[in-house]
Amino acid sequence: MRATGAIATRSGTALLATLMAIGWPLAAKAEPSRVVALGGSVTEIIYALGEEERLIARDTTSVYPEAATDLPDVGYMRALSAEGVLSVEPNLILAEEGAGPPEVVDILENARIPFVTIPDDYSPDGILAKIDAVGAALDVMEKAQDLRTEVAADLSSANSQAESLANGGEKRVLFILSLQDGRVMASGTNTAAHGIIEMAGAENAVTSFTGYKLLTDEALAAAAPDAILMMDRTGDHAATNEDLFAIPALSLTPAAEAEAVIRMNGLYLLGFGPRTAEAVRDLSVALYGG
Amino acid sequence: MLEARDLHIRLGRKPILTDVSCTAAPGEITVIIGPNGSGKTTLLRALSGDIPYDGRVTLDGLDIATADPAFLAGIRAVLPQATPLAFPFTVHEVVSLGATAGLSGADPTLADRALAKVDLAGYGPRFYQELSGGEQQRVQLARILAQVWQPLVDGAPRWLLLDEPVSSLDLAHQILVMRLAERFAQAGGGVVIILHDLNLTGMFADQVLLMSNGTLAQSGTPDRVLTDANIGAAYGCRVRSRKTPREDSFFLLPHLI
Amino acid sequence: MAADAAATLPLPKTRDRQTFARWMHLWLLLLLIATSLLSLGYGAADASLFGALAALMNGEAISHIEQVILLDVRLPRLLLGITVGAALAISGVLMQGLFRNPLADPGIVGVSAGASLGAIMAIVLGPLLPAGLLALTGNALIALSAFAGAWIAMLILYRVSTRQGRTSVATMLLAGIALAALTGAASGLLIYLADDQQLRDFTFWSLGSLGGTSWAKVWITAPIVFGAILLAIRLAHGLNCLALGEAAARHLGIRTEQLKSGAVLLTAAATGSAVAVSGGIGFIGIVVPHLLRLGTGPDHRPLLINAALLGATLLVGADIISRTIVAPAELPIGIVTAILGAPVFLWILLRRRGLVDL
Repeated sequence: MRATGAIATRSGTALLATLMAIGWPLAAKAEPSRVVALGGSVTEIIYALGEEERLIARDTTSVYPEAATDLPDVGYMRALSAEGVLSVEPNLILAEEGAGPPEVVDILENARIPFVTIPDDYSPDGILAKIDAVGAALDVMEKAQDLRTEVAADLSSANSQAESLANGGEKRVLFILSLQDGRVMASGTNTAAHGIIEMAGAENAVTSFTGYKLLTDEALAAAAPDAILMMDRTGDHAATNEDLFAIPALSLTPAAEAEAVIRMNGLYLLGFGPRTAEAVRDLSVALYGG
Repeated sequence: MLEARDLHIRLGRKPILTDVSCTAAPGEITVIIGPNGSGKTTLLRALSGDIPYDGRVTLDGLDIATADPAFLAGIRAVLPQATPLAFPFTVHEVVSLGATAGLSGADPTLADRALAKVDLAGYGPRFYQELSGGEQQRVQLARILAQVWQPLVDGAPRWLLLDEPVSSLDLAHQILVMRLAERFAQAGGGVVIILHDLNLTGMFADQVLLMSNGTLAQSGTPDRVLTDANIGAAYGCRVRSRKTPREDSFFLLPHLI
Repeated sequence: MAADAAATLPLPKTRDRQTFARWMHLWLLLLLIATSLLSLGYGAADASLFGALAALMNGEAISHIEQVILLDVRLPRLLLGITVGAALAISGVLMQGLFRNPLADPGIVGVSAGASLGAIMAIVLGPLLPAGLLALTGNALIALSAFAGAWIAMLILYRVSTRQGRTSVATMLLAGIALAALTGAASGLLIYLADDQQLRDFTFWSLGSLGGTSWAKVWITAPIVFGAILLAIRLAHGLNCLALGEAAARHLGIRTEQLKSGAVLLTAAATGSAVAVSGGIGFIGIVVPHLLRLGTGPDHRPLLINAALLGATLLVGADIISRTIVAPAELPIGIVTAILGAPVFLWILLRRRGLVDL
């Protein structure tokens, strides 16, 4: 199917080529000076590298630093518009994993715009690998090396600080993505939330599945979290402590007894970018006290 | 010749029609009468092939159960008791549906002529849904007249099957419609009509089929079937026909003069 | 008295209405062409069709990016928009004719619910398929699964409502409600199993979009849909007769069983492929036939042709809005058609109350 798509795409292009019988000069391999960043962490890394001058557009999740929000927004990174991305005339697209839909990525590749996918792994090494990949794509390896060293040191100090705070007594943390009609959408393993909880010297209370899923009441009670971690949101997804503990299964947990609910900015907490070390520190302090 | 042999129809386990055999001849008006629930409409629906039945119905030798609907539509038109209409068609469009279904379909003036026949000349552009019940009934009649416009084609009769065509009509239009049927039969076509009005039956029928409890109680000429005894037995009430009522009681018996 | 009233009322002329309907073909075709040119010439990128054509005529080259935008983004998207819009509109006409109800739509025969279930199955369970099978279907897994879902739902419904070769339209209507509830429950179960990412994908799918258009989708969908339109036009006379009821239609010489199965199959083919490639796009199927009936009457032959043209035009127009209003991002087109279509739908309901008992 992918092959058919490519053939069909080419046939569309061939149509005009035949019509005009004119060849086009191949796009010159220019220095990537017009970059579209898809994914909050990619944008943050570009800013941390001091290469924000080259950034011309971003996706909806790229909201840090503040200045990034002034850039044109090409939409949600999994539902991109081919023409929308092309309209900002990029010569490099840097995307976190999962950008799409695939048909749009096909068209962008066909437009001979380098499309670089930055691997996502929710671990300290994953952050460093992201920095390497962004540095390589922007051709600023030296700066990337400096940032990498700095971030690596920061991460390991944050981690050891968290370990010492925990002091062997790892708390069980339940990450709640959202509440839907009194049901809890929680994080399992293989998520950013799971990664940051581990890095902050704690234990994810739910490990029976991967990704974010709705929990049953019984699974919620069995998770028995010592603390609840959430993103601080406004509007529809905002949930107050009363909302949380109105859920019977949640009200019986140790977290409810201690009213231990931690709210942190979503991108800061789950972005897995240059600020993650700071987020790990904040989280471990919130969990175990300074 | 429209012929039914050994018709049996059940609805679930309840027999609706039991062992009915009858014939209707071209050139004649055959009227089906009987009390409510006696099986008149069921018989007509079997004769027109609308409901499954045991037995055999043939139209000029053709088994209607297996005949091509398009071919049947060319030689036979059926007027149901009531015809709801789903969309805002105009009267002309409704009648044209009949004209195109029949064999005379090519004639574009047919719809207007059929409307004139049922005293609805000039009604063509109006919306069907805006007409009164009686007018709608006549539009439907015009539709089936347009479908079998000529009663006799190359010596082969066409057929009209009408289920209570005068039920919503005023006196004048009842007579008009029965006259149309009469002329159709006189010209060689076959007509089968369900009527409630025994007076109209006596005036126009060549053959009467008296239904009672799902069986054919009597059949034959009006003189033979429409006797006080037969009607009394079928309808369960005493009647007196062919006698003038007492002088001081009101009665109006429309009669052709 | 009735005759007097007839003389005084302003009457629509029947033949005028037929002539008007034929003129309408031409006007709508011109409107579609104009909208198409606008769609090709206008978008988030300032690649302009006319600029490109002028450049070509002067023998100048246009840039590769412009070429991609015009030929691989806007052109297939325009063609898919035309295809999907036409498919949704004629499906509406067919279903309304079949169910003899101006508010019927393909949702009634379970096609939409089936497609929706197929899509979420592909999204949630797709990753569990063997890698070889996944590679074979590639990008098209969701579309194929939605298409299959639409057909399976429709076939089940048709089987349930057909006994001894006769299809009961009333049973189909009721069974459609039951089937929609059942597929809704199955979708709900899958939604429960889905993770956050899959839920977002499904949400975007069900909002409808022409964003993932590729030439492959055009090549697969367009022949099915335009074949269905040509066949549907052949059902027009039968659908006109069916407006008088099934028995009356049969007495007018229509093979009603063939007509009914034809209408259902063509709807499943057209809607199934439209929904498969574009997700849930509402209101085109109800609003377009209705607007046309107001102007040119219920005769199905001109109605089907006009509906295909107007449906295509409206969807292409809605797509222009969808891809420019929040540029460089885009709004799901289902939101645009709902915002524009729902008020029209309500207006229809209010207006119709008098004329036809719904």
